[in-house]
Amino acid sequence: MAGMADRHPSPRASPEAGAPALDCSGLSRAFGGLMALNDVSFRLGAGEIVGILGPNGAGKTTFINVLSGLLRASAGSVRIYGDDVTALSMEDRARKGLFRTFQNTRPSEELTGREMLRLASLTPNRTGTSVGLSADELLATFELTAFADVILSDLPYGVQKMINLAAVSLCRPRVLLLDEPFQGVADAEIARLSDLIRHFAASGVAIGLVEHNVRSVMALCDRVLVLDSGALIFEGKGPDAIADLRVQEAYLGQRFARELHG
Amino acid sequence: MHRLIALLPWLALVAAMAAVLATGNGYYVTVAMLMMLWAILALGLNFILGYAGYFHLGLGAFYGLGAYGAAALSVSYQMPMFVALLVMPAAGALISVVIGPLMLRTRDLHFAVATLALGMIVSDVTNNWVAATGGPMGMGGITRPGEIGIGPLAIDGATTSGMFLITAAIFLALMIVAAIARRSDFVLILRGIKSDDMMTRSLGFSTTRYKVAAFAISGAIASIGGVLYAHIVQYISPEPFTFFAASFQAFVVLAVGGLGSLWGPVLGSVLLTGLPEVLEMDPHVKLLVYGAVLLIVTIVLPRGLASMGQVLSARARARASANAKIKEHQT
Repeated sequence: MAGMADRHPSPRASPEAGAPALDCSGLSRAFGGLMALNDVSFRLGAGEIVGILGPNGAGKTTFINVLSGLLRASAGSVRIYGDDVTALSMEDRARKGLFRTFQNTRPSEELTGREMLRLASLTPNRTGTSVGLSADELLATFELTAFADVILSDLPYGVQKMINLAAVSLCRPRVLLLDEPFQGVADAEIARLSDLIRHFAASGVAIGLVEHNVRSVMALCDRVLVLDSGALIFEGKGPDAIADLRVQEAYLGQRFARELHG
Repeated sequence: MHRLIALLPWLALVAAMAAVLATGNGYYVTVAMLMMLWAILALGLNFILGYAGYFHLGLGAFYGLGAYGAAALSVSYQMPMFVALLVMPAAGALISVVIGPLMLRTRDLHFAVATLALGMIVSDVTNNWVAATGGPMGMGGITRPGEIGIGPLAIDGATTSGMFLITAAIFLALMIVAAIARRSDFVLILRGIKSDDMMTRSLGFSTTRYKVAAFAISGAIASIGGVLYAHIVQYISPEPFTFFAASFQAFVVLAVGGLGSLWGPVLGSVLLTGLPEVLEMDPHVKLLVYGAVLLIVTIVLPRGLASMGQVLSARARARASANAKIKEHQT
């Protein structure tokens, strides 16, 4: 990634000194009688990368949906740099600098990659600062310049994912939530996506990512959260998560976890 | 070079208009006016349907609103046509802005049905509110504009050729607006909505506002079409504004011409308005031929007549590369 290492994005000043980039407390979401998200609190600092792990159905995507405002919280609050956004819609949260990507991108039969980037750069978000790469530089970084004028649905899945990440980075995000950014992406491209995510963090963006690819999460994240049945069961360093009994139980079931622990 | 090529269709359009006018044949001039009218309706529909992807099946409501409003302004208030040209699109846009947020809560088939109902309501009103619309008998006596301009540049709006020039000027102005809009940020955001509404919202856009704006632009342009219709024909009745005569026809013109394209509305209108006039045969056979032509166009050119150039050049490229491969193989 030539050209990226020698950039020194200026650390951004947070609007409210000391307030974390993203702060959620007591966040819950019920679907009928089912608590898909149960009293989750956590803080995400500027420039930090946090992985959100958990077995299938643990509530990871619900968590991102509630944080981003796609779903309303049943209880709890969400703050961006101290600013309470709990009552705001997804588009209004985006205007406060909170952006997200989606797990299942419906491939666009309408827009080309370049048009997608242009659309993103028109965002009404006035907060945050540029991550330091222009649309053309992002295309060059991903070696996508040759595909820039192809309709997105004609491109491979991994390429679409890269363009979506490139697009959202042009929105001057302060907080970025990524829902399975590596799903369906080849290993070489995962490395490239990881480099870019690190670059965004280095320019001060707070990043939360949901991912099944545990190895990539361990390599990328400073800290991980583990959810199980909607509740936060672990928060800490990646390697500690793997050694944690409750995490092993969540993934493997009680019996196998006990056997593993001896 | 690229810019010159982009100018060619405009030159062809103006040349075709001049040629029609030069014939001095009232029938040709009238058919050309109808073509422009349908092109105007289709280019208006393009905003909500072609760009934003919402199946508006009630354009006839706004077309009728423009026509009946123009008739009332002319017959009851003796207002000149240009007043209707200002008032009726404003009314169309205003009504759209009021009902749009409600209608655009729905999408896909639900939006189609909601707009269909809107068209039916207006059709019903034109038939039954006899005091205001004349009911099935309609309204006559709509006064065309008189002399406009001075000296040798003056045109007489009361004549067919004068009305043609007025229609052509409005049509060209709307085409220029459409050409500029097509490259605008606004239309890019509409296309983002068509592509994925949720993704576009996640980028911070209040998509409902953009959809309402597109709905209002379509309604306003259809109202302009209605005003022109009332002054071209000088008599209006409910029939031309019913679902099949208006809303559906505008949809077919745009779909055959090419959704989301600049020249699609023009090409679709020329084919669909011109064909029934050219085909002088038994009405039943005519309908069969008409249907067959539509079927062939939709199968051969699913992206509309406006994509013909792309399809042909893609074929030429494919043939060229195939030939090159054969040569490579031979040597």
